[in-house]
Amino acid sequence: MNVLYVEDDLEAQAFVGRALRESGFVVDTAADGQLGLERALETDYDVVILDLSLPGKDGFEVLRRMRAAGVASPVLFLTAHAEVERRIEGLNLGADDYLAKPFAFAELLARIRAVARRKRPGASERFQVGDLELDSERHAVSRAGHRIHLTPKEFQLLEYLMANAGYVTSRTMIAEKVWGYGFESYSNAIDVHVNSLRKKVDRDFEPKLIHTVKGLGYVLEDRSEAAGHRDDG
Amino acid sequence: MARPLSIGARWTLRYALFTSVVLGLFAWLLYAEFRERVDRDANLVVRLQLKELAEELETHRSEPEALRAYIDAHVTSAAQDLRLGIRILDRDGRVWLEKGLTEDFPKPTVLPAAGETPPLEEVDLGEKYPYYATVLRVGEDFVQVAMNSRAFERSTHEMRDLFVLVLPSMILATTLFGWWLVRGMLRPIAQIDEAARRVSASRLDERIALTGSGDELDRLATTLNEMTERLHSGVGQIRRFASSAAHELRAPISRLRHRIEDGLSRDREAGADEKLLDEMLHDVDGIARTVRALLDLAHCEGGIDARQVQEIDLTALLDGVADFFEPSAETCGVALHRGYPSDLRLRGEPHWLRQLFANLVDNAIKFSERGGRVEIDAEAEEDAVRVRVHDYGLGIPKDDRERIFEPFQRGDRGAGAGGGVGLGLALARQIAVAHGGGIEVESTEGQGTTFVVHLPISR
Repeated sequence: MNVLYVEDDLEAQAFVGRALRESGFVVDTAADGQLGLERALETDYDVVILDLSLPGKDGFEVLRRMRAAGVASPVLFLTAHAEVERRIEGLNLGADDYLAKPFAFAELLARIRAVARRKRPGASERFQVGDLELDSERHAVSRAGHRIHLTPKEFQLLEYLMANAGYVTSRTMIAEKVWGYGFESYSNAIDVHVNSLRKKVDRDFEPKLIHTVKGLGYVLEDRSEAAGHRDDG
Repeated sequence: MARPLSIGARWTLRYALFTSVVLGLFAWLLYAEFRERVDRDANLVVRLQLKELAEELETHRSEPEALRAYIDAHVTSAAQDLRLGIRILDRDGRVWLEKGLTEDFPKPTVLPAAGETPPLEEVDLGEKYPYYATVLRVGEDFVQVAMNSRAFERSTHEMRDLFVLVLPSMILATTLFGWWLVRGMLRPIAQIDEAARRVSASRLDERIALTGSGDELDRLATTLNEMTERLHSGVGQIRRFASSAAHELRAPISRLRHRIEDGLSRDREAGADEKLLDEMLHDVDGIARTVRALLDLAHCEGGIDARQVQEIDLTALLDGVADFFEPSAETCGVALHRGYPSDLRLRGEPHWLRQLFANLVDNAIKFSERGGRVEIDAEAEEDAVRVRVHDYGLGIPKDDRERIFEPFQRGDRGAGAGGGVGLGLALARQIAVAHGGGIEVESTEGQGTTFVVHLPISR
């Protein structure tokens, strides 16, 4: 997967860039908006990571020009400004996600993968992980053939986890995507939600499918021998 | 560009200009009137002379000697500076009697008909004396009378000279008076200016002294004092806030520093690294949360971006918040009761409002006891919505009730969930205020607490 990383803080660029390469990405970097825009127009990247405050052209301007030129690559914004207004402005301009600095690298990774896959909950789809099945259209969940009753929010949560099956989703991502912006700081409540979902989905079944990722969030995947080893690149 | 004149100079100039115009106009009117009177007098004198001469001529036409004697006497007896001159001409314009006039004094150009009184003619022979002259028909003859017009003009000139002399000094005097007046009016302002200058950011506790007269300037001083008072308390708040914020950050930073030092020291057990790094990460996350909460608060204090304000289904928003906390409440053994109507709407910024109510509900659950109950009620008023978040917890002591909304007041309640750094309720209040509303707390110790948020429906 090739990634364009536009960041003017060279130290951060070196550090995050290296970590992304170690995680198996092909990374191009640019240190200002003009160069970033040129790269984005030349190459069809799987994901563009844009710092918002850039010399020359700021991130919004780069995004606006990219979209105007018909570049459809998913865009993930990074910014030191946590204000909702800017986040909304970015999303309105066609950004796919938004991450405030400072961030955990694992969170960045999770979000890059999420925007690259561009799977959104709410799309009419059927998901299956192991013997757990979810049908978005019929609003039905079953495990090993047993029907499971979920509240609407539990359903949305499971749908989000299943849409990202095998990939880590952070608590913040879960809060934003399932409940909307404004709940990011209540990670305990997210844990309670996931636990109550676990009770219904995992407690009476083996293998367990919802796993906690320490310090970050959750992943839904089948880790049993039967499912085989999954390559996480 | 030239430096603009001071108010004092400007008004003095205006005043001087005005009085100059008025005085000049007055002097000119006076002078014109006087001049006209003098002209009338001259006319009168000449006509009188003519009339007398005409009578004499009529009675003594046949006795030229007597007539001559009379005229001689008349001219001689006239005032010296009048330089009276008389000439009598026959019907063909030939001079047959003359006294007091030189040969070259022009004869009348047009001889008037009987009963006609032509106007005074000014004759300037290029000598020292300009003359007034006129002519009158008496029977078959004409009488021409001339006299020095200087004699009359002198008084008008004297008057003009007087004005030229007196007017500038009068203007100067009134200008000086005006300057004195303006300066007198401006002096208290200068004093207030000086006093206000003394009150700098570092000495906001100083006040401008009042004269006690209650006049306009006293009112100005009072207004300035009130403004200073507000600035003083505002600056105090900012200082307290900055020092609290710095203090709040210093603790985790120094903790982090200790851990790093600890990590750098060699003699550690195996497996300690991971634990240490974990703790350090935790510290950094805490700092980041504090900074983020501070940014949120600062941002909210600057007001809400009008572009993000939209029509909001408040019922759905409150449902979202209740849904979010329902499982947490259940885990804590707290029942979450939704008592709000289904049609609440208002204009606002949804993300901030969600944060506001999440904060209050989270707080209420935290401070409820197991088996307790948290109620979310709301009612729409004419132009506002009032949302109540009520718990049956321990309540808040009276002294703490205002303080809990101040930043970094951890007094159990203030912290809230705004990162657990004592900014939760401060942010909640700021969000409500930024929406044009407010937040109050009602509490009975031992019985519970209610946070009342009121928000205007349209912004």
